[in-house]
Amino acid sequence: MTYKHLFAISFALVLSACGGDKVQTMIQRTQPASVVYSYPADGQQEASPSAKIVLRFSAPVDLAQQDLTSKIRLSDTGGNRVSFTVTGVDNNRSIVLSPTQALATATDYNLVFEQPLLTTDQRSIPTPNATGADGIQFSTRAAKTHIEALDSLATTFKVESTIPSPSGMFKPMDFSTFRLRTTQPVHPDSAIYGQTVSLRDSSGKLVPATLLVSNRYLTVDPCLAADKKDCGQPGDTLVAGQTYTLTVDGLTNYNGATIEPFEETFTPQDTGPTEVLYQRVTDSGLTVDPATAKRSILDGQYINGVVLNSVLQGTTAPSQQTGDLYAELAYAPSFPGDTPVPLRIPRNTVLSSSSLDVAINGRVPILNEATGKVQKTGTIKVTMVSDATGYLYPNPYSDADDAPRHVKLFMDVAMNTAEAQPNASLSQDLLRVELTGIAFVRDGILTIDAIGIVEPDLLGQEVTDSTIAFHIEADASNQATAPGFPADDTGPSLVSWMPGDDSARQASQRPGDPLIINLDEPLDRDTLGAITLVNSTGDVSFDMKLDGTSLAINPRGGFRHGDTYTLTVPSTVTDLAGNGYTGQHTFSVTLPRLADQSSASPLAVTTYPGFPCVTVGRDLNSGLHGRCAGLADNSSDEAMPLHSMPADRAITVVFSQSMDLNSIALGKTVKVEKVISLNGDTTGNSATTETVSGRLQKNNQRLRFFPDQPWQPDTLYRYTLVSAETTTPDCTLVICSAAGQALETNALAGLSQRGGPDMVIYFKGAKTTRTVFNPLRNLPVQDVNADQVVNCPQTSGGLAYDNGAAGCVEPFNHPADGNGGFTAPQSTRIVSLDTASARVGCNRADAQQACPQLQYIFQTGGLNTEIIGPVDPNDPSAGVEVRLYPTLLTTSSVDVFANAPLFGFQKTPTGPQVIRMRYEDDGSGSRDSFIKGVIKSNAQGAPVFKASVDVYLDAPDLNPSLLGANLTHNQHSVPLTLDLNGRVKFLDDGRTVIEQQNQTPQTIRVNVGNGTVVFDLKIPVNGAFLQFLSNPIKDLIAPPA
Amino acid sequence: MNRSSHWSSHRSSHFARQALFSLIFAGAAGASMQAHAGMGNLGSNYGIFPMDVASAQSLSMFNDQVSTTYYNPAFLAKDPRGELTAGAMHAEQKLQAKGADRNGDILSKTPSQHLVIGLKTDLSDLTRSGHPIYLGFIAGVDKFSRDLLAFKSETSESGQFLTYGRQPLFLIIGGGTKLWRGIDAGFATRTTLHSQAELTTRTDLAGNTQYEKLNVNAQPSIRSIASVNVDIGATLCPDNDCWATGLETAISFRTSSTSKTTVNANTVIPGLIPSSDPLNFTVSTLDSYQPSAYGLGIHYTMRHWRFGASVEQQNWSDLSAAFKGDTIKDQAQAKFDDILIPRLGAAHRISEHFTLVAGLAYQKSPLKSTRTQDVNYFDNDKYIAGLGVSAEFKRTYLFAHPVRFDLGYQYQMLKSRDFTISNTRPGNTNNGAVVEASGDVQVIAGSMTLKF
Repeated sequence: MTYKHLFAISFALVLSACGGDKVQTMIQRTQPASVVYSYPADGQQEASPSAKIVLRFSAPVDLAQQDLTSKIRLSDTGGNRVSFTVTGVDNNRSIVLSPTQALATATDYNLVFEQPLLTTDQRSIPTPNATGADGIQFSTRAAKTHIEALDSLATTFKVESTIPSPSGMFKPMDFSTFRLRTTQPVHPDSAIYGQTVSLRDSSGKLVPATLLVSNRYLTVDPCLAADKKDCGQPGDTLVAGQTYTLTVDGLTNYNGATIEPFEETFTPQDTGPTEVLYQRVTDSGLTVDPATAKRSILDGQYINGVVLNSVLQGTTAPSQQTGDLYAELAYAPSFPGDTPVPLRIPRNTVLSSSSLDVAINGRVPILNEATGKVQKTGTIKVTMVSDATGYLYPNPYSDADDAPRHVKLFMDVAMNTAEAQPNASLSQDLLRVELTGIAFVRDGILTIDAIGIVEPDLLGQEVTDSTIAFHIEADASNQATAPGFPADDTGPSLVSWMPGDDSARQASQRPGDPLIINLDEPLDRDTLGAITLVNSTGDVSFDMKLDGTSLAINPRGGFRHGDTYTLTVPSTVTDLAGNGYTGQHTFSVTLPRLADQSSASPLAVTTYPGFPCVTVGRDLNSGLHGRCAGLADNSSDEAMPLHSMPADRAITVVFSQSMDLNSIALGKTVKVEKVISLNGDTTGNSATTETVSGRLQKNNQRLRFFPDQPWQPDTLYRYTLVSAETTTPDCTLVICSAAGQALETNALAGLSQRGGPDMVIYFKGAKTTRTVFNPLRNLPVQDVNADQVVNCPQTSGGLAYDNGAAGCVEPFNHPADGNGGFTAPQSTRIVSLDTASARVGCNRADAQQACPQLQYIFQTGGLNTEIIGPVDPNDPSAGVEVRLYPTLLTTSSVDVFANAPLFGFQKTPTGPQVIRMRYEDDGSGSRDSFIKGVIKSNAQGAPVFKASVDVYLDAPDLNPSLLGANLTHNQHSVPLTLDLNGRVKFLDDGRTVIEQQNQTPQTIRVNVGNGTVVFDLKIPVNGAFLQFLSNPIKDLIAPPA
Repeated sequence: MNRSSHWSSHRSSHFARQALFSLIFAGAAGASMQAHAGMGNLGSNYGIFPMDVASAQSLSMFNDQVSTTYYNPAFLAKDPRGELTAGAMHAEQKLQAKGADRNGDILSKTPSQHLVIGLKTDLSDLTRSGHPIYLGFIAGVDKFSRDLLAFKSETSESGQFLTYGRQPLFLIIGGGTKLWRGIDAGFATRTTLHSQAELTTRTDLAGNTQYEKLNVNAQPSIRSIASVNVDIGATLCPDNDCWATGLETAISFRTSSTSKTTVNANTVIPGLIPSSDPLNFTVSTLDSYQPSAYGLGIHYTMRHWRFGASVEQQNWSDLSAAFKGDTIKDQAQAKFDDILIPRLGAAHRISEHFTLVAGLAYQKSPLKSTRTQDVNYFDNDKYIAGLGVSAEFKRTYLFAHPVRFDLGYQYQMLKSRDFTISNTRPGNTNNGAVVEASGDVQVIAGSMTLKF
């Protein structure tokens, strides 16, 4: 036995000794790294042109050892390379490419790596690709300029795509919201759910849904719940497995063209059983300590921080957004493999952002007029007005197990703020906000990091942009203790309205201006039918537009002077959850009374581009537009320059009176032409031209022309406003006021001469600019009917206006200024320096004390301005530069009693006078620049506007006579300098009021009859008081009567 | 786990296996930690007892030891004596895979180390008629009795051999009976386990579970072995010698057997997966598959010599269909062929006590596919040679009954064969690599048998 065992031992030992070799090891080849995320994503449409490109990798890149600006190529379809700078984020795991110039609109871009990038551990990163050709392809949205060619993606008007779509990557689900994109902007009046846009089930029945329209985006959000509060909540679904049809037929664009009919049939997939995931939009901590606040791993910004970039408000400080999201997730096992798992966030979800200071261009803080403190926005609310639809799907760039999943979310939101003024400026609907992000589980928390860009329209004047780096967390362990979806039990209430109850604001309302109500919550569109408008004649039909939380109303034909309109908003008008409106229910608007206008011609108070007068002495080859034509020889007046018109702006003409809109016809009384050749005649009179196609938008006191194609840089154009020198014009052939009077085009020839020749204005096309066009009107005015006469009889003593008299339509109701005068907007006081030689207003030596009311002339006018930007980018206290476009104002007449030798004081009414603003010499040696003004803070911290404006004063209707003989006078092109200064105030309805008063007195030397009578008149300090009012924040023009 | 080797001498046969166990384990202490199970079982891969090992299973159908319960249960009826056998086996597997994607050649060195016990007894007195019935029972456990289940089924990026590795519990019970002169029939069963585990839980994304429920059960799967043994000499000329004296044939049939495990998990993740419809995933897989086999053997006994030859058909092609229902192996789309294994062996009685045994066999590889996605099976044609010695002592100091000691050695040479690695896992770098699989296996087995 022993031998056997020994034999066994030794054999085993021998065997095991043979097995002394080690087991093999696999050679680990270095696996290439890859891109795991990009913004914009590969295949993304409608990206913002202000987007910065973000790339995230599976391992940090080595920024020191390689030049990414040469390795990464970003180019458009024409092959033009976009230059950018590179910044590393999250230890260079992500990089942000900031283009040196904004991307072009409606352009396709491609991003590739010309050489593979290198990580810090020397692995290579090849060109990423998710779909289509190698590289990241994305396209930018079209512009938002109202110019068809710039705002369109194609020349045919059709539905470009839908999300979800049965043929796309994101398929229709039973809880989907349907978002469509069209190639051209849709006229909102043509989008009527059930008629031009419908979603029907298999039996043809219309599915109850909300239709939202903005620009080229439409959203159809079905809601089958019985109670509005349950819309978007679990259970509100289409019937899975049934066939539905989405039809678009009959939508029109702004030119009236009809869309190609579109129909899509689909069968929504069952998402159930769904589970609601409670997620939190977390606080970065920046309001407590910005230095330690959390930043996004994608682009390095504060997480959930909102920064708005604009010229009007500058780059704001970051506002912290927080909120709770209740994401209803579809049953994931029903969407295996690469299939995207859908999710839905219900409508009426609210995200709140912390308050921001409001400042002009970010530099000059604005004050809340009621409290005198710096205006803050208050809490900024973003409310989802439709169900947001999203998808979770595997990383499209990398198959690696640790590549994070991707999230895409589409939403439509309404923005508003707690404070009135910023609420009015920012309140709007923003459709098709697209979030692209990554999702992964970190420390047991499902974390979503996403980037989205919103581009709100600020004050209706500027498209701003804001990139938000979202960071959303969901903890699966505390879902049971999570708070429920917050019940919305409060109805909407009023924040502010236009014109408001203030009498000056009511007096500033004009036909064509809408009535605007600004609320604190978005409204349910289906309940707006309960709103009524009545005036003295009964019910008035009107157009209505809901944008964000602002509701604009304009009656047919516009508000009429002298009549009181009452708008009633009952409590059957509700918010999205069905809670009734609980604010002020009736709103009264009374426009000031209008005296007869049939004896005065309407005036173009501003023409953009150009100066509103008939010109002579043009030399277009030298860029000179000549001087205004007048009676006297004013050839010593300097020539005005030829204006440049940015490519994407509309020709805008504002009138002093309401016009006969039928008399304004494109091609007949308004002509817009491109100059092909001057044919050797530099005045343009012999030019060969070509009609520019476009559309005319007419409002009671304004017309705008939007060309179909953008203005070409360095190309000469002209537009003509047709008129005639007659008191009885044919209003089918000339532009007429509503009272039938032809347009006054040569005020310098005397306003008693009605009408005038055709006004032709030339301009040159130029590139688009980031500065902001800000049109203003002189409101309120004394001379409501703009006939250059104060339609109010004087008292029997002849020392004041008799407000109580029967014929007093334009009463003199201005407060005393404490210095013996009055604070009357749009007025200038003229006094005599030597009452022995001249008296103003009344024939008394103590005229200044006796008849101050009669010493005022009242202006009719408007002013276009351009907000340029900071005066000194490094010095905020230097303020914001604003340029004024010179224009022409007319004034009412004032009686001057001049002491003629031997004849005593002769009463001579000046007649309506004309004040022409002169262009500025900006150092070039000639007056060819717009007038420079500055907005800055005064010693009390309030914003003020300063500008030094040179003007010419003319009194073309001044006819001094002696013994029946007309005397000559020197009141032609009298140069004056108005050194203007005054407060910039912000109304709670979003509009701006700029008050200007002259800081230095001006002396006017009057010489009648070649020295026969000579005297000086004076405009004292603060004698000229102008008040400029900006346009209503919502552009809802009055529908035709 | 590490025990120092020690010699426990002169203990009863019941403890003999302990001695052998610890002895051979000492040699195995340096073995690789990487364990893997595979197809086949103790009986078919090597041989149950040393004589099976030594003869390369060529004489197994005609082995008078209890191991015949597995190979040819009818042969139990040949020898009426009862016996108790305890044995141990150590198979040193050096499996090699040479490729550009790896450093070193040895893919796996996992040994198979069985402790086997068998009992054969005469149950003829069970019935009143006294009809001869003989019972055989065999139990074998891998890792020297420390791994009863030895179940592993996985995909592999580097590749894995189809057979070899550790084997699960080997449990055979059967019996044989005389039918008519010289013709015996036998029937045996093999038991394997089909296990099922069910887990239900609720978890958050950090892995914290709540409200858990776990159920595990294992059902036996009883597979049959049937054989008929014909002693042609005893049948044709029972009383005198004729040409057929000493010649016998046997035919056997074994049904396939396999171990199977199914794991079923359900989880609820609050906020992501609802409790009304939890996330469910099931992994159901098989291991240690032994195909159905037909065996035909012929045996000729002379005075001092015994010669045996057998041919066995193993129906491996059924495994392709079995893999279709296997969660882990279905992607491999592996194709198998039925194979025919010829075996040849001889035993020579050199003295009263000692007998030498030798055998040769050739086993073709049943794996037809050289590329099996993600599973990456290797399998080779095998040349098998065995050598052994058996010592029987009728009288010993200790035991009242005869004792027999067996020692067997077997060498299996794996003929080198090229395979292509197929990996779909993202980030994998050796997909498409060509690997040359080869290797050899050395088996040593020893046993002690008490006859009574």
